[in-house]
Amino acid sequence: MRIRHWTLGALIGLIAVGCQSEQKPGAVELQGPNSLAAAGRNLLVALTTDAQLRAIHIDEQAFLRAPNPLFALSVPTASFPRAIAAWTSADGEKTLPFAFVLSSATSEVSVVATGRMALLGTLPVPRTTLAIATLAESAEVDPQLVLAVAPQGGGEASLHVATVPRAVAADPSGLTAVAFESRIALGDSVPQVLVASPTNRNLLVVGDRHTAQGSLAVVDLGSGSVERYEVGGPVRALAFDRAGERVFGILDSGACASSGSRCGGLFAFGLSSRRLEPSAEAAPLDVPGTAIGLAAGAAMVTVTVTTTSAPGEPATTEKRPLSFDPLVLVSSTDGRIYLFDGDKLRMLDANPAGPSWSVTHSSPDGTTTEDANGPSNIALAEGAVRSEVVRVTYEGALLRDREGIVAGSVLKSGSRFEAAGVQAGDRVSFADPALCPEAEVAVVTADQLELTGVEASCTGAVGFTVRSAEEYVVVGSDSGHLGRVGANERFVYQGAYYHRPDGYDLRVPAIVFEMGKGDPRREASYLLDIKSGISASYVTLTGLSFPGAIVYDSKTKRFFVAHFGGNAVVEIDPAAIEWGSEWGPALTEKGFRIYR
Amino acid sequence: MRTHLYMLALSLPLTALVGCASESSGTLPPADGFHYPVSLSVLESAGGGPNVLYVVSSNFDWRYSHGSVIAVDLDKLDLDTPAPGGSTATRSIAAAVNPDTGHVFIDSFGGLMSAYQPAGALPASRTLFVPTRAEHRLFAIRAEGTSLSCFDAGEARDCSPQGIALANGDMTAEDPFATMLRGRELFVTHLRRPTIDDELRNSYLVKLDAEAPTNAPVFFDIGAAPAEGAVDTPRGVYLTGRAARDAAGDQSKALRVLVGSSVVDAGLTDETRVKETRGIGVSSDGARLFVSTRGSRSLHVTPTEGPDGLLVVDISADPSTGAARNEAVSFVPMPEGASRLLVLPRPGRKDLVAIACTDSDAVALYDDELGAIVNLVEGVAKPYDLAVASRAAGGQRLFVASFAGHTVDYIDIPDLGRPGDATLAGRLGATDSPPAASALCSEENP
Repeated sequence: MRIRHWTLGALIGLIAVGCQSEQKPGAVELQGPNSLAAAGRNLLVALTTDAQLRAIHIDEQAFLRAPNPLFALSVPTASFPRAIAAWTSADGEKTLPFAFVLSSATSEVSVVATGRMALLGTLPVPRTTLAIATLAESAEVDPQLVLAVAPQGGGEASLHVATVPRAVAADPSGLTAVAFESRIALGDSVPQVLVASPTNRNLLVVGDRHTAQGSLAVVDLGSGSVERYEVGGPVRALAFDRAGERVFGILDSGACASSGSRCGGLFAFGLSSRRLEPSAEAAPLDVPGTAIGLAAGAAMVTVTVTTTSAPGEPATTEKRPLSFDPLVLVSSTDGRIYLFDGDKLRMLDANPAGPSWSVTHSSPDGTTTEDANGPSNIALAEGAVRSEVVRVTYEGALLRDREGIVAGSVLKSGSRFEAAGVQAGDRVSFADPALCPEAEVAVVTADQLELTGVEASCTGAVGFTVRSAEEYVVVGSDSGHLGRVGANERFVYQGAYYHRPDGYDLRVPAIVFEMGKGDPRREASYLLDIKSGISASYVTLTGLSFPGAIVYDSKTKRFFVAHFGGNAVVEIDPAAIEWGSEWGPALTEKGFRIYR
Repeated sequence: MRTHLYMLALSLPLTALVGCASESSGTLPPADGFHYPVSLSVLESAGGGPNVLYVVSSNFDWRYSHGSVIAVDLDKLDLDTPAPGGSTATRSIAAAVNPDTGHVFIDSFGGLMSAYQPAGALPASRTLFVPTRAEHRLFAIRAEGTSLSCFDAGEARDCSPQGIALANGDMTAEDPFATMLRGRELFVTHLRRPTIDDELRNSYLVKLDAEAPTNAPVFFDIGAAPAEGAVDTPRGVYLTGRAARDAAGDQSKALRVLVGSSVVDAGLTDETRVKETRGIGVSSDGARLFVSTRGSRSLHVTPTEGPDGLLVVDISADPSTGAARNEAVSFVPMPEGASRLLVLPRPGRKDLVAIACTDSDAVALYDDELGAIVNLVEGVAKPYDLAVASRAAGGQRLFVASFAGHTVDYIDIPDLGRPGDATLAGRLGATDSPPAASALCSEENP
């Protein structure tokens, strides 16, 4: 019996009026909700525009009120708060006497008494402090604050630690005696995110924006050890699971792009195994758009389970609440919040179907025709193949309409020839074929080609295109260059599993097909329109955009998501969400509450 | 209430025009002070030539009869010594402006200028192209170091008779606002869609020949939504965009690009929930754009549908197609009112980006090496345009047009590698009382 569970993706079209009806009286302006943290039963919201904290009582689902209850409580902070550090016990009840708010722009940490929700004062911090964390409560030690500090004008990155005496909560003058001690050297790196283990007071995990080796650092404060691991790129955000056994992370697409590379997605790192999960070579899970924030918790989600008793038998479906622990929520620049099964390390897939495809033939003049001579016996692996159009083109372009300089038999260009898959025997055609007839590639290096057949008239600045010779080039509209194949040959593209459905096998390639005799006319193509069979489960709210920081509350099993666009915090109760019966919008707004 | 009014001023010129049309008094603007400065350009001369700051005053409240362009001789101000009275005191520019040739008058509601060095001209020669919205015209001002003159009018100070109409047939650029140079090609954006026979038409990107600006301009149809900022990149000229509403609904094209003679949507709004973008700059490696985003606003209403921030867009070429990727790869929240930005390259390091956060009275410094705002220089009243010059003492000096302060403030960055040390160092302008807004066209009633 094959069981396949899937949730239905939800496009939660909450109209603004409907959302406002959920608010309690006395709406509060949340101008620039930049970061969140739970401090016991209070959710702290740092506001960049007004340089203050607001607090939402999680159980009462209402803003804390000021001494004059006509107004919501406002706790001033230093300008442009970037991050909050607070601690909450596993049952969600206890917190430290302090929460800390980092303002990188002014190099200060604001210290807030969590008991009476009041600003106690500020601590100066090094100018390049980019992240903060508090260690778990200890009966023996006063609360401790840890800073991740990037090097400025040379030197090494480091972690600094300060102990803040409990007595400061009653007598803020004690803050002047608080001093940071540089404790751990992190080498030549830019640490931009820092999380403390919920179960091990000595364990911290650092995510780097730039580093020479391994952008995830596991730090033991007790021994001072720093272990670095490669996780697929620089790290933008991190979150522990509740048990402290795994840390989930988001790769930093922006930092990758600034280094001329590409990366993105969600990864999981095992603290026991000290490697990526489920395997050291695991590819990150896809997150559409650019991922911003994440949180891991545990919650029920009503999913639809598809059951097939035997091959050929009709499938049956039923809705069933399943528990996910961890359930990981990831916010994205596309305005959506995606749901992931943190145990099986996959997106909650809303689509019960597997991959599908269709093939059309395109003549060099662009007309489409029926043609059975292209790819056949197509096999696509769910979880590795992407939704895209794969173009199989005879003598297709590997680099098109580029600019370069011909000197003798050498073509130099800023193009990355090797990365584009150019190889000896390929053909180079020029923008002006009268001056520069087509030439053949003899030798390929990173930024230049040695050619044969270059005419003496062909010299200086040229426009050029590189294409395969008597072969089919295979290019995905999303994946880029996938390889090449000859007529009557087998094409295999291994790919990587960005989603892990039941029974997936890393050895199974993403795309396999048998190429027929084809259409041997230059630029004749076969177009494989591929549907991956994966539909992301997500929520999005009309009128709100740029969801960012996410926090999980273990007592209510709810998530809170700051929305910078629209100035709101959204409470999500995954168990209460009513997903549609088919792919599409949910029918109700149940499961969501908007604070603004 | 004041918070959003200045951006409203910069975004809704029609409101001001209608509201203030009766206020033109005929009084010429001062030659030694700024009045709603909106645009800056710095000329740095090597080998003993002058170092000059050009400032466009928009005359936003129509207190005076004209807007102005003023050339400030920076060499006469000794900005490397601390300002008398401290960094918040205004240092007089009177001694640094040639009383006879240091200023010209143009139409009101000036926009963002570009400084073009004509072919064969002396090193300190420039043509300053200034779009103005009062009469929807472009001004070409000759600048010979600290001396300004109208393009074709000898010694006259009033250049207003010489505005260049931005029209070609029935195509017009209403409310021209920003300019950008690519070689001798001058591009102009405009903020308002033209109306012909009560029918709203599409917006344009206008191209002129900087060597012959009076020749008929070329109009590129960019669709309904007007553009604002523009930047030249290896992948084409990119345009930021404003949302427009018409019968078809909201037209939001946050990022478009001119490739050849076609303007195409970069598709940014398909993958990000951005409604409007304002300032734009390209990274020093030419592979990424820095774009300031804005939430849509109306008076008294907090931003919705998109936040104020800095979006980083990957425009590197996809090897298989040669086309720009146009992927949003990062977003950094910014203080309210993120608008103009300036990319400051740093050899051996990733760029520093200065962003004027107009509604927050602050200039944010974003360090691309760290991926964070590392300094927030506060106390600049409604900062808008930015320009940079070298400091004799080392580092760079950032000039900021203080729209509401009627000054040009300057921020010293002693070491670009340590932007956290940047501080507001002083203000330039008239030392008498700042001109109060006129009675009918006060700051509270644009």
